[in-house]
Amino acid sequence: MTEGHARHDRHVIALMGNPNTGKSSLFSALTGTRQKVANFPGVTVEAKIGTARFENSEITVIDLPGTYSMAARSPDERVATDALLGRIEGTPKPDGVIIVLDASSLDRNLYIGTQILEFGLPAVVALTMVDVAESRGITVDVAKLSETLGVPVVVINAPKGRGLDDLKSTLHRTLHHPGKVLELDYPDDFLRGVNTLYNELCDLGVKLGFKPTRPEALRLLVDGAGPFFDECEEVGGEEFISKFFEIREKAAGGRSLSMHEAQTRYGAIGKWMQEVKQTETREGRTRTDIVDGILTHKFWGSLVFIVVMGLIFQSIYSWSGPLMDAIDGSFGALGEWVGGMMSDGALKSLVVDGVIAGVGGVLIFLPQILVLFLFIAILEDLGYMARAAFLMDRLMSRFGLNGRSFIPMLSGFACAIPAIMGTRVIEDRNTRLTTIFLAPFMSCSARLPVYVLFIAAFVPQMKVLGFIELQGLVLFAMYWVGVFAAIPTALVLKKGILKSKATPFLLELPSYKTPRLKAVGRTLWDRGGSFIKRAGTIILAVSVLVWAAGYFPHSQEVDDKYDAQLAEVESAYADSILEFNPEEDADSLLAQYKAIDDAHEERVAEAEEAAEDDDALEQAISESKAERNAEMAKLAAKSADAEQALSHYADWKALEERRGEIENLRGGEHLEDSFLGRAGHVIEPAVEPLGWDWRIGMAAIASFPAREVIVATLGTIFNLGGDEDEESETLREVVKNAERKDGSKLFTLATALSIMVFFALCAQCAATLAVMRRETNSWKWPIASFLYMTVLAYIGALVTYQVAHALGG
Amino acid sequence: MSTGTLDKLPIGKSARILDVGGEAALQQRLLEMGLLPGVDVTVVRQAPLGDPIEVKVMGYSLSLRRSEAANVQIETTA
Amino acid sequence: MLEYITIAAIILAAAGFTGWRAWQTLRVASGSKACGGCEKCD
Ligand SMILES: Nc1nc2c(ncn2[C@@H]2O[C@H](COP(=O)(O)OP(=O)(O)O)[C@@H](O)[C@H]2O)c(=O)[nH]1
Ligand SMILES: [Mg+2]
Repeated sequence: MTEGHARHDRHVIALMGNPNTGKSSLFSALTGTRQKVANFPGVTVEAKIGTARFENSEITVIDLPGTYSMAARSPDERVATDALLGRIEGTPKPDGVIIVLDASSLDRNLYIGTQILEFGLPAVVALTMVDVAESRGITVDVAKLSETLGVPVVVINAPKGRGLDDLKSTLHRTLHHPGKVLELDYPDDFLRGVNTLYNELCDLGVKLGFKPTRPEALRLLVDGAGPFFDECEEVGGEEFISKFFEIREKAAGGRSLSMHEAQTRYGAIGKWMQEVKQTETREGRTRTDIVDGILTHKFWGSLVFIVVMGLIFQSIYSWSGPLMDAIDGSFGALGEWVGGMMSDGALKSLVVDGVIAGVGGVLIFLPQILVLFLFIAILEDLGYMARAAFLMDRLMSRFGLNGRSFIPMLSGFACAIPAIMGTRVIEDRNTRLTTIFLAPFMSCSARLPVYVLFIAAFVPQMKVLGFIELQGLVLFAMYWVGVFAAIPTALVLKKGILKSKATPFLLELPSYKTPRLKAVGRTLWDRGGSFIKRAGTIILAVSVLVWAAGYFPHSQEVDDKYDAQLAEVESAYADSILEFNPEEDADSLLAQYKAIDDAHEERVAEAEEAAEDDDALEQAISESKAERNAEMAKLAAKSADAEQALSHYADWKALEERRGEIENLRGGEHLEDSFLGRAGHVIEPAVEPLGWDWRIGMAAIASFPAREVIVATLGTIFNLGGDEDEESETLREVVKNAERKDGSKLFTLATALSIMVFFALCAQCAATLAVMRRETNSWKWPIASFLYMTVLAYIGALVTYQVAHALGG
Repeated sequence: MSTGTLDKLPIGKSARILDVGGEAALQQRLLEMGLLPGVDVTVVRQAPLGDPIEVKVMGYSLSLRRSEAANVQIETTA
Repeated sequence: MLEYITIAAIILAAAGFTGWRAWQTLRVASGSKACGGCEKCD
């Protein structure tokens, strides 16, 4: 070893330890790279690589999934072990390791600590959660601990940024002057077994392609299974296997080898702890005990759960409403402004109908996404996820699943991809496959815009029981649609093709932590940022393509036809209109008529917003009409010209209306005639039973790569088909006002529900299917998932529409 | 002094572990999590549906199913 | 004319980007990309 004066050292360091001990927090603090941190086991499921700098050296840091032992049973545990041994492609072999130990449960943390130390890599212990330990009356003698283990120990608190410099410099020193290798007092037979097996493995070494180590021999001896065992079996054949079991039997001496291992390790740890750790028994219960007393209580726990869930869905509406209106309004204004700047034509249509109506339509849902993630982040940081698994295990085991499956499913409400990756903590293959298959049924955040749009447009704004918003309630119900579909699916899978015996539950319940503002803020920032990024990239691109398909060929014939109609109508009114131009002659009598009429329209619009039911609305409208007529009559009585002005005004209004109608027809015919329209008519019969027309059908098809695209495509399609001169409407209004060919409303409550159910159940996410393929290593699962979910979505939407329609919705 | 299995230990009671059995993988997991002979364990609570249970062992909270806890032999003092 | 060239360029870019994303998604499926295809997760 050199003395460490080299100018540019490059080192690779692995972070290892139990789950939830602060490894990812440390990784983020060292490298400046953001890594997902949350208060429950199993957040990190793959190795993450980053770079830290110390003086002249550059350190590559690998954040590994936390494990309780080096015995690798589940996929995430294998990653940790393989990475330490440098056996993962693309991940460099570590020169040293930071063992992260949680001071508040040091005994159990040291179990894997001793296993890592036996590998003999230069190691530094980072002691975390000292604050938590102290609050429980536990003090750790750091110097003694370091002396006992034979490696340096540094106290850190990564979230607070404490101890990092000390850790880095200690690490630097250790890499150049590593400490001693830990040796434990194993029973003689056991140790002899390890050595014999080690020699056997060395003989196999050439064929294995790498040099096995003694700690690996120990693992192989005790675990007697796993990928390394399979490899040896393949290379060594029958001969090796029979020798292996002979060695095992001798080493065990009638007991189980894992008992020998555990007793040796925990025996040593117990002895060390007598000197290292002091526990002052505190009277009274800890904060976690008190909180758990409520949150996992039979009655209070369920009550809190329901109240929190209700609160989430209520706030998605009540908190984000004003912000959403503001964003909506500004996109409307932007569209109008840009529209005013550009001359009519294809490019203007692309910008206004394609980009602004498409991307803007999606972006207005940013507030809802943020509110949803605010709650998820708080629950994650608090430590509630592990409790949810604890509460749900019994229920989940009825379906042959495991409470552990509940955590990935919960994160499925954010996004199915991390949920599917999170299943790596599940050791049983069949249980894992079932969980992967179920994850996309949880209503992810990309479905939220679809729900919010249709609920806001078609579910009346009213209160149930005096305080529950009906809209929030319907939203809550939409989330259950996926869950209810998942339950029988789970039963069929687990009792049928994916049968397996019950898998161990064994889950650590971490102590509660006060959610940190910074961590929650960071989650919101990341999620909000990626939502905007998505809107600006893939959704923008798809909007442009949908626009193009809906705009072209844009035949001249259609334009000519409507231009002729327009000219005809205009000439009919020409004489009368020439004298009347309210825009230019603001002070004229006619302008006053217009003002009176506008005021009437405004009152009607207000009444539509505020009215509680149809009767009230009708009354408000007729009152307003009467007011208008009275005012106009008053004006007419004032002067001699008034009569004439009134008739000009009526003509002008009629012309405007005819113009609007013609432009609408023109837009509609162009759209029908477009590539999108032609394809739409082909698929129309398939979506008709769902209560959809071809436009909704095409929008749904365009959303198969990513479901939130529907909001953008609906905006584009309806804008294209609509009147190009009309004042821009918000997407909610566009959807509300859209009509079928026969003039009836396109969207009814039944149609809206059918769309929402379709989106709740359909597998409209290419990325999820891709990750499914990767995680299961076969196309079988994504294809099965796609077919199953799509068929289910179709049937679900069909039943919903037919039932709701029959009930008069 | 009486002996039994961990799944039968009433809520709030403590006991000392005598032996840990079970199918190989489960036994290994139980041992690694700190449930091994000579260690004290306390049952803290059960989930609302009666299963799983939460125990305190080696100063931390572990939840496990009753069927898993049945592999842990214990003796209670007093 | 210029208008149509601009539009053609924009559509081509959108198609290209969508294709690129499809390709990335396939790379995720084959396992040569650790995570991704979805900016929603990190
Ligand atoms: N009180 C306290 N909390 C910590 C400390 N280090 C990390 N945490 C918190 O512990 C939780 C788990 O941290 P994380 O980095 O995700 O652990 P990992 O699972 O080992 O990667 C998070 O809520 C952190 O904010 C510490 O030293 N003290
Ligand atoms: Mg982590």
